[in-house]
Amino acid sequence: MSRRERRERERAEAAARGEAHPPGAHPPAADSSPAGPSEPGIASAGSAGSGAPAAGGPSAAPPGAPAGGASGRPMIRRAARTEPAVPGYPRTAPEAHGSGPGVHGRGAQGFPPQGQPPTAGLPTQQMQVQPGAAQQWPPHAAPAQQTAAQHEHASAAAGGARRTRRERGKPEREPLGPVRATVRTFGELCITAGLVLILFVVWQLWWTDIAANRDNEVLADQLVTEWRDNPANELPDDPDTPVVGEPVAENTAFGIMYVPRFGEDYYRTIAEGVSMEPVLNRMGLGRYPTSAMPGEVGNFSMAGHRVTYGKPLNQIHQLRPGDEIVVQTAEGFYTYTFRNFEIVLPDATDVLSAVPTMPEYKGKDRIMTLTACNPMFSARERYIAYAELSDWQPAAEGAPDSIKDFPAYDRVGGDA
Amino acid sequence: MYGLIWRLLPGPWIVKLILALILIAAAVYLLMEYVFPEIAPYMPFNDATVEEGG
Repeated sequence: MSRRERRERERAEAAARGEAHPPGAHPPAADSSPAGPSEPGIASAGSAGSGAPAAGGPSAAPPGAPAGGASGRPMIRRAARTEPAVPGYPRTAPEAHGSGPGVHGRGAQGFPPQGQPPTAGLPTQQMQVQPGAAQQWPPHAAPAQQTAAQHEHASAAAGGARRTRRERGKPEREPLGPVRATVRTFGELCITAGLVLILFVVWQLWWTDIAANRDNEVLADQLVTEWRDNPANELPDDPDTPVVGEPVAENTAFGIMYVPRFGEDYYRTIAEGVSMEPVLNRMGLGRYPTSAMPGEVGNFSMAGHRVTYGKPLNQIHQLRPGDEIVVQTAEGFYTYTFRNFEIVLPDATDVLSAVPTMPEYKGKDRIMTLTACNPMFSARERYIAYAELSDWQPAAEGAPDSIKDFPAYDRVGGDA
Repeated sequence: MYGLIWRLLPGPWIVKLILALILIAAAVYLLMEYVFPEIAPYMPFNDATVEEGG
């Protein structure tokens, strides 16, 4: 299609360029007719259909009246379409067509010089014009032909351009005005902000859990491996008095907490410090550095997220009095028994004192305190869970019965 | 904005699409890895777990 157009265009241009060409182009057309006099229609159709309708048509058109009855029909169509303004063609052509063979024969033998007055009933005026046109045809007809060719060319080019544009599906974009551009950019920024907020929610509620759980597993494995490689072999003077480990450096994990009430697979590492990063967000529970160590007389206090970041204390409100909370460290297993809970304001630091809420007393009990935010997804209050040490076993004696067959313990510290 | 990005990306539309997806993935990665952890402490529901000293 495009190749044919290109060929067409080249011919039209060539025709427009050389004014001597159109007359030169005649002989072939005229030759072709005599070559096959018996089949004039086919010959003309061949010449017209060979891809030169634009150039060949108009060029053959002026003599077409006297000569090219053979090429009459395609010529008419072409002329009628492209150049409706030319008066002579349509009227002469049907006439010539009507007297088909005769005209053809005439054109075949003696077309060029004489201009061959058509015998059929043409208007005299036209007859006069026709020969004249044939005579001075090159200079006179060339402009018309050229315009026709150009017209054709232009329309073809425009059509081609339009088509290719449509094919690419890329319409030429009008430059936006400043107002529309601003509105559009603003709208796009709003959409982007919305998407970023959605992504933030997804990240906060879903991804932090995944990341924290992964960190929890890795950290617990490291701890258990470390404990296995360096077994604690010190025994207390009094078997009933738990051994208390030394505080470790901040942001270092030192224990694992199991809570059967929180689920069979529940275990969370315990690290030193209560900073968001890295302890609470990545290492599970955090020990308040001012509080007691596990098993120590006083208040062993830990904080943990209730939502997001692995939510170690997500089910803190499920604890019932009597539930066991087992903390494993290098020294052994400390079993605390949940006693009661309390909901306080965020600044109620007295829950961390040795006798909770009574900082002026020096306690003699071994208390554990867990703190988490109270309404979930809010920082308005704190949920406080208290437990008291009820049992202790050195690491050498293995896990207490409460978690011995516990899936989480089997997975993490089972062979410790 | 997005139209401008699309026009700036080189190549045919399939290459543009791949490049655009890479850009989106990079943006998501940067947001999740660096931006969100930075702003998360300022969220009202996150700092809840700690008992502040005052």
